[in-house]
Amino acid sequence: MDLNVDIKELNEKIEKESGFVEAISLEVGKVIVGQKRLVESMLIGLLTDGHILLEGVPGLAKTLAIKTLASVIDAKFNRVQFTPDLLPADLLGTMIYSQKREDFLVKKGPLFANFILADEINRSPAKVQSALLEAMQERQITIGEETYKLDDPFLVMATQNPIEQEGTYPLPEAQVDRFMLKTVIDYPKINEEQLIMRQNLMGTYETVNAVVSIDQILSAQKAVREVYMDEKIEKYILDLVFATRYPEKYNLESLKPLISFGASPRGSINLGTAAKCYAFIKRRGYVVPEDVRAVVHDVLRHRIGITYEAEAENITSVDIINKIVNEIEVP
Amino acid sequence: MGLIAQAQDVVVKTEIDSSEIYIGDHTEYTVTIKQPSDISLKIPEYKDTLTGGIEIISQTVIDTLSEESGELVLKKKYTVTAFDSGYYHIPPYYLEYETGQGKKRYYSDYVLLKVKRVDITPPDSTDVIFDIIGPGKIGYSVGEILPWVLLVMFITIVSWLLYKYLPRRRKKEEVEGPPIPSEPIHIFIFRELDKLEKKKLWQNGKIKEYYSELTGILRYYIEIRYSIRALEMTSEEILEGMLKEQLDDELIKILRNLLQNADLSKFAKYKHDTETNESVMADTRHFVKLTYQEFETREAVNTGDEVNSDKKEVSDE
Repeated sequence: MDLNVDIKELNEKIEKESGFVEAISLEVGKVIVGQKRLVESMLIGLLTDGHILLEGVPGLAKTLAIKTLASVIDAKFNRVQFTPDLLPADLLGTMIYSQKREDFLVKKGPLFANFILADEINRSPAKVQSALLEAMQERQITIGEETYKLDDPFLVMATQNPIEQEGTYPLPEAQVDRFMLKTVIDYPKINEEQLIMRQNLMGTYETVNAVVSIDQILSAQKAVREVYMDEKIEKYILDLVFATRYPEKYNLESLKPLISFGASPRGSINLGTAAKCYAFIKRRGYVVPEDVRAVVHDVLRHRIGITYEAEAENITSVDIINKIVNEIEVP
Repeated sequence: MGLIAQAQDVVVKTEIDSSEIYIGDHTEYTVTIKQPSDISLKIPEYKDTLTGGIEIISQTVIDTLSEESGELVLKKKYTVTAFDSGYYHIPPYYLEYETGQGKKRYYSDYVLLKVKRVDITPPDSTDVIFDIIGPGKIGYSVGEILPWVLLVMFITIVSWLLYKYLPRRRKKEEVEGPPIPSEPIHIFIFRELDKLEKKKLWQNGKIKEYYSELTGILRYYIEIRYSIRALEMTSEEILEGMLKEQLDDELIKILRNLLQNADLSKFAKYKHDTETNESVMADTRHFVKLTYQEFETREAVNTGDEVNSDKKEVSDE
């Protein structure tokens, strides 16, 4: 940790760099009514090079949201509907023989874009999921003998439908852990839905403008890493993560039989990164406990395994996080 | 007693235990034959009935007894019953003997059996119409009751086991708060602030520690005074909680300013000037004093007491 960091200077820099956040929010808000959490999650994913696992019933504007974000940034967007018969080559691309050239040509798959919506990722078997998750991790794809680097920014937003679990291939814990955030979105509020209904009935859709360049996003990604995080906040994050592993050490003995495994070190890293990014979105050069609180659920909810006992008592990982957050003293 | 049918040396005798029985009652009809041991008699076989209406329930095998005189005594018993009332003549029991020149037959006499109805009508109530008698009640046997007893025991045991071992929804755990001081909270807080001031933390460059301890004391005060879990809350959450307490705008403003300054110092290494470092201490004292007075006023209004003006004056020094 750089102890000589000048907070005033940093604050000014962050304020300058994060100026586009408001512009993005305004543009996205023209099309997406409500779903503030979804938009925030997308921004965090975008600015931290993370990926998002999205859970919500169909029809909550998931596709529209990411498509709009791509338009606002003037980036390339692709949507892939995962089905049981999808093959890794359908995602990554393949070699096709050209009779005219008498040679194999590379046909790149839909993953060659800046924004990917992997719709209903759990509908495809493990080999296809692995292909996507590998690309997410490595940020490169090998077709034949050639390796292609994926463009920056590269944001995958995978969706899972919480209903209709029959015939699906649930993502293993190790693969779910690779998603930085798991965001659960709910139905819009009644006044929001009224607005959505009106817009659709009138058929008047606002057009969004590209207000941010990809270079600005890449520069903002660097700025996010510079956001100052005090040792107290680091300790707070570690306490939260360690409480998921050893609850008894934090006066949370009652949670011990409910947790089968706690968050991994990747959880601590992502919680720190997401908190920094949240501070950046709020145009602050330093992290405060509110930033950690704002992202802790999305970062940890898919990283805590619950036991059968917890399931029998209808206790979810979110309940466990709530309990931990309410018990760990804020610095 | 039936009559004796006798011809030379063969005697057939029949008798009935009771000449009067109720419908369905049982009685024994006994046949005794006395004969020389050197002759063979043909004895009739009855299977179901002795005569129309007299039913055989069971019968013994012929019991043979040799007497000293060289004669044989044969005895056979029939358990009989009848289901119609009336008088029955049980026909003579007859035996046949093949002499070589012809057949000889030996007969017993008739036996009379009277079968009676159950007399339910009292003798002096000939004109009275009685209700139909309901079915009689038969007591339960152990064999009938035992399965039910076992079933109830089984259900009880299974229920108990389920209750004991199945995980149940946990009761809402009571939230444990910090220890409450024995003296009034505002007095305790003023003392803690005095101690902090004496430590001279910010004067020695320990600004972060100074703000951490100051907000720690302030949070503790809020937690005890307003029962808000301020120690586990962020600054924004505390402000939200205090807004719900409907505090004066001035108090909210003081608190917001205090928490923001503290956050800047604690999390952004911001070095406030001397004036700010001194003013936050004064503001904290002022906040405690004002909230204490407001709390007392509220309490007094709630209990209907007059606010004691002497008590209201609290020194923040």
